[in-house]
Amino acid sequence: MNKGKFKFSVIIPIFILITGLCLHFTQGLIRPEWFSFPVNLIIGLELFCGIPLVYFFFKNKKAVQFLSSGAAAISAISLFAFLTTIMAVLPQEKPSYSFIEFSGLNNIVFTWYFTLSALYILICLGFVILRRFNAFSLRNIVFFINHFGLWLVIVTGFLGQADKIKLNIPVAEGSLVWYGFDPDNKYFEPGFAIKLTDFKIEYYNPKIGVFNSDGELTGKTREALSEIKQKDKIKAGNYDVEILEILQYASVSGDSVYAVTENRGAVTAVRLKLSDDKNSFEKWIYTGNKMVKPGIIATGTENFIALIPPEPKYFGSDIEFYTRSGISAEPHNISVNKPLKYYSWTIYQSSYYSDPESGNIISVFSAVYDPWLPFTYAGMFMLISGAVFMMFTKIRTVKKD
Amino acid sequence: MIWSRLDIIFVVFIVSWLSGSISLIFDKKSAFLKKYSSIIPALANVSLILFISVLWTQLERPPIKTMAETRLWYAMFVSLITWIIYLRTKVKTLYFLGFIMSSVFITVDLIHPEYQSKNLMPALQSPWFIPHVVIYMIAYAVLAAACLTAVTGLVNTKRTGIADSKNIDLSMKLVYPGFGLLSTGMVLGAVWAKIAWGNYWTWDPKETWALLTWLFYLICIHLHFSFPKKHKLLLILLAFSFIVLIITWLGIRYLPGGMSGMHVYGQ
Ligand code: HEM
Repeated sequence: MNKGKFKFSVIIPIFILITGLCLHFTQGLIRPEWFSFPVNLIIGLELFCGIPLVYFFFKNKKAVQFLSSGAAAISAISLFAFLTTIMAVLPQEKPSYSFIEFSGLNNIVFTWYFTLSALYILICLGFVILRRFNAFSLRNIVFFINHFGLWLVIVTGFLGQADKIKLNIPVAEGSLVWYGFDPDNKYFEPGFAIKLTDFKIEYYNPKIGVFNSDGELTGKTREALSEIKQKDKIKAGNYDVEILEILQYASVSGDSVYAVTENRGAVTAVRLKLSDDKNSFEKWIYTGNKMVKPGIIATGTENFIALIPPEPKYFGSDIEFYTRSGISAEPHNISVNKPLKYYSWTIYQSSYYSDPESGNIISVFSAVYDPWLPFTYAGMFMLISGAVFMMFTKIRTVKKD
Repeated sequence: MIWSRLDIIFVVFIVSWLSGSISLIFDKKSAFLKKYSSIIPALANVSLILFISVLWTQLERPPIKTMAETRLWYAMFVSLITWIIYLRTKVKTLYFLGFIMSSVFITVDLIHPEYQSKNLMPALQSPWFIPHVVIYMIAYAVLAAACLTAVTGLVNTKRTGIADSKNIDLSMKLVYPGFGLLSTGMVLGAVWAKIAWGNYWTWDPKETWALLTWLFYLICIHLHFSFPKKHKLLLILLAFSFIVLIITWLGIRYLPGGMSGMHVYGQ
């Protein structure tokens, strides 16, 4: 490496860090809103046209030649990796010691120095892509796919952030909701309403745990925590325990436990047969809810058996959309990993909870508007295609010197 | 559960690889030993693959959710890949290192099996789950082999005083596909996250570390391409990148803030 290049590749990152810190101390963190449409489009176009223009007019200048070189690439990626290391080691977005918070180190993604470092990568990438346009060969095409794909992902990922809207929309069964809340809890109307006609949830079988008097699981975790099936046998204290019956939805009144169909407010119950050397008996255990205390069985002075609330296997909602004109679209089903497109929005089933007051289940949707996504996806697609080529690339081998 | 029978696999694995390694030391004297050492790792691998298959059927889900489960795949891929490279290059050090590395992971599983729940939360029930994890596991195994060859190269360089270009070439031949797999695994993860949660990137600790690993290998590739004569720097960087990779995979939980984010399951 010649001395000049080496000097530049150290000076530029230092310059970026100092400038970025100065901007940070005077301007504070970058707010994505600053870049919302049309600012982001203008910046995007400026980068897309500006980098080639600068390249064609100044390609014989030393600075441009440096920025398109391998030395600059390593310097730019290293600076970015350095900032990513800080991000990886310091917990982000948590209030932190004053110095860390003061210099933005717990919020690196939104700092000026991080943004400038990404810009440095973008400029280097842009120049080297243009430099490699000199000849048409398979190698250059693969090079282009890799590098331009990454360029697209960085540019659209960063600029797209500003236009992205993500709303949380909690909807109770039977009701119709026109609004949602963004991550800062601000009210927002997306222009359509969601009506929840039905919420469905399915559970895995419950698990049984043997706990000690401190409420800690005992025994081999393997046995204590396995999901139970009918006829399973486990050991708890001196007892052999057999699972006789599992009720996903049960109701408890006094000593009797019976199955119910309605899952609202129901508990999960399991009938067990316990036997030791002398005698054997049957008993129910169940999970608790607001009205019912969990039913447990003492299996000695030291420990007890209890039921661990079952984990959800599936949850999903049947919904209808309403617009201002009052027209209802046909019913849709939506569940985790199966989002739904509605015009320029994508609706996700994100979670559910039971309303502490009414006990009704509330289904929580996310509605996401992300107009830049297709470009980011295009970039990602190029990255993957480039990756496939990379698996078969013939690499430069070391020449004996 | 088949987990409790991992000891058998462990014995088969250790005995076959160890006897293979020993016969490798004396293989100049006997054609039989030479053949034996090249074939016997297949037995170890078939036994591991069988174990994983039985585990898969017993769990009724792919065994790629818990750490202990991914370690099995990793041991399988590392031993498979180092064995294949040995067959093609006859680098004996790689044979030994690959054996040591994969048996360490099986041993950890033997000492700390995780008897965790069979259940998959709804977000994990996705066609993207298997490719995302398995591609990462293969990438990790390929890059482990690259690290082992780089370390071999460093040792040779130190011993002979001349840059060991043969091992640099071999390492980079592994880093290219390894990096391609890393990129693929990362993009698959991003698309899946978008479908499941509506965000393709949230800077959760695992994602940040995965990006860091990717950046380190990116530096290796560019250093190699643009400064092919920086042998020693490259070899050291290759070994170091693998340390970052191991932290990404196994070490996150010990870091501040590491137990948050969407890559933490169980408990
Ligand atoms: C997805 C990410 C990337 C991949 C997969 C990648 C891959 C590669 C490959 C395979 C080469 C060798 C080209 C060849 O075989 O002809 C290369 C060269 C190069 N890359 Fe990257 N790269 C990536 C990101 C970057 C970034 C972020 C920069 C700049 C900041 C960069 C700058 C360069 C430069 C300057 C060269 C040398 C080109 C030459 O001298 O002809 N690359 N890259």
